[in-house]
Amino acid sequence: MATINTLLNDEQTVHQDAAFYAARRTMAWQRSTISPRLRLLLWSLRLYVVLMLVVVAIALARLLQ
Amino acid sequence: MTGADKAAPTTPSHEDFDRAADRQTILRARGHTSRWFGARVLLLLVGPGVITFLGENDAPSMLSYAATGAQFGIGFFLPFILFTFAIGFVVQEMVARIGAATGQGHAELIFARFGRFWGGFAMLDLSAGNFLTLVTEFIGIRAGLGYFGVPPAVAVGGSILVIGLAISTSRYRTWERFAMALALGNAIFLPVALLAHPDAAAIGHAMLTWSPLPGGLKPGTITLMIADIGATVTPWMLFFQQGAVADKGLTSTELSGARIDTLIGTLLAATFAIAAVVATAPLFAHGISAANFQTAQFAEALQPLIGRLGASLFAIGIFEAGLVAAIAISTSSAYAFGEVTGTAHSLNAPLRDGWRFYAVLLGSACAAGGLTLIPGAPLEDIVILVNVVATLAMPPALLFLIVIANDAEIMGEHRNGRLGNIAGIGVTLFLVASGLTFAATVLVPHLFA
Repeated sequence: MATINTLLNDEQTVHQDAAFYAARRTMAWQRSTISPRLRLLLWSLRLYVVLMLVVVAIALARLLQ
Repeated sequence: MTGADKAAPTTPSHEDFDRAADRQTILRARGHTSRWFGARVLLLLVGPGVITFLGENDAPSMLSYAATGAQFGIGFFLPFILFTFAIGFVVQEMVARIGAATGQGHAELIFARFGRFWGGFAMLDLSAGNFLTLVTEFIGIRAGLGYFGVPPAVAVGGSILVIGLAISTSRYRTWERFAMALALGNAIFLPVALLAHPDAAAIGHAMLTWSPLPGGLKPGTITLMIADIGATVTPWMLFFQQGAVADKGLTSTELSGARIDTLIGTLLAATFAIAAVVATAPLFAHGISAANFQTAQFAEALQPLIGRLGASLFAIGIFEAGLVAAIAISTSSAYAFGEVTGTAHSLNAPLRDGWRFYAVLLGSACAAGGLTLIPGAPLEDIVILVNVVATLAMPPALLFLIVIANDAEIMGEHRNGRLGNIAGIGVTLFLVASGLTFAATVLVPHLFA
C-alpha cells in the first residue's frame, strides 16, 4: 500500500514538475530597451567583427599563396 | 526567484515530462544520505559543462596545442593555457547560470530581449562560425582515421552515423551519457604525454614561473596564442551549454551542480590540453620545425620520439576530438535554429515534433562532412585559423551574454554580481585587445619583426 502511495505521489510530482518546465519553456519575455550607450557598444563591436573578418581574409589569402 | 519561476501555466509536452522524470531521479538520489548517493547526484548533474569543455578540446584546438608544444615547448604556454581556461570558466559559468535560472536557450533570450535585428547578427556569427568549425572537425576526423588507412568517405560517413546514433533515442539523458562517454576519450592525450617521458619537475616549474616566450612576440606566435584562446572560448559554447542546461531541466535549485559541472569540465579539458602540449614538446626539444604540421605530420614526426603506439594514440585523439565536437557543435546549431524559429528544440522531443531540430543537427554535419570530401580543397590550411576566427567573433557574443546576465527581470537574484561583471568585462576587453594585436600582425607585420 505504501508503495502504491509513493508511486501516486511520484506521478503527481512528475506532473507538477512537467507543468513547471512547460511554463518556463514557453515564457515570453518582453523586449528590453536598448540604451544609446549599449547601442553604440553593439555597433562598435559589429564594426570590429567586420574589420576582423577582412583581416582574416587577408591572412587566409597570404596563407594559401 | 527568477522571472521564469513566475511563468504562467501551460500544457506540458513530451519533453517536459522527460525532464520532470529526470528531475525525480535526481531528487530520489538526493533523498539518500550515503556518500555513494552523493556521488550519484553529482554524476546525474554533470553533463552540459563537461561536454562543452571537452567538446571545445576539438580537432583544431588539439592541433593548436600540439603546434604550441612543438614550436615553443612548455615554459610560456602551460600557464598561458591555464589562464585561457580560467577565462573559459568565467564565461561558461555565466551561461550555465542563465540556463538554470531561465530554462531557455541563448538565442531565444537574445531575440526576446534585443529583437530580431541584433538577434540576426548573433545568428549570422554563430551559423558561420559553427559551419567553419564543423568543417575543421571533419578534417580532424578524416586525418585521424586516415593515419590508419581508413578512406575519407568511410571516416566521415561513419562519424555522421555515430551522430545519428546519439540522437536516435530522442532522449536527452541517453544522448548526454553517450556524448560524455565519448568526450572522456579526450583523456587519450594523457598516455601520449606519458610516452613522451615528461620531466615532472620541469612541468611544475613551468606552471609556477611563467617563463618568457621563446623568440619573443612574432606574427606566427601571436596567431598561435590567439588560436589557443579560441580553443577555450567560442560562440558555439555559449549556445550549446545554455541550451543543454535548459534541455536537461536544471533549475536555480541545481545552480551549484551546474557550476561544479562547468568546473569539472574546465579542469578536465585543461589537463588534456596540457597533455597535448607536453606530448609534442619533444619535437621542440629536438629542434624539429612543426610550424605547418597537420595531424598526419604530427603523428609521423612523433613516432621516432614516442613510438608507434604514442603516434597512433595521438591520431585517435584527433579523431575523437573531432567527433565529440561535431556532436556538440551540430547540436548547438540545432538548438539555436529551434529557439529562433519557435519550433521544438530539445533532444527529448520525439521525431514527429522535433524533425526540423534533428534535420538541422544532422544536415549541418552532413554538409560540413561532405565539404571535406571534395578532392583537392585546401581545407587543412584553415584548421588553426578557425580558432582565430572564433576568438575574433567572441566580443559581440560576450556583450549579449553580460547584458543578459545582468538582466534583473529574467535573472532575479542570480544576476551577475560585481565580481562577475569585472571578470566578464575584463575577458571581453582582453579578447578585443587580442583581436587588434592579431590585426596588427597581419596589416603591419614589420612591427613584430
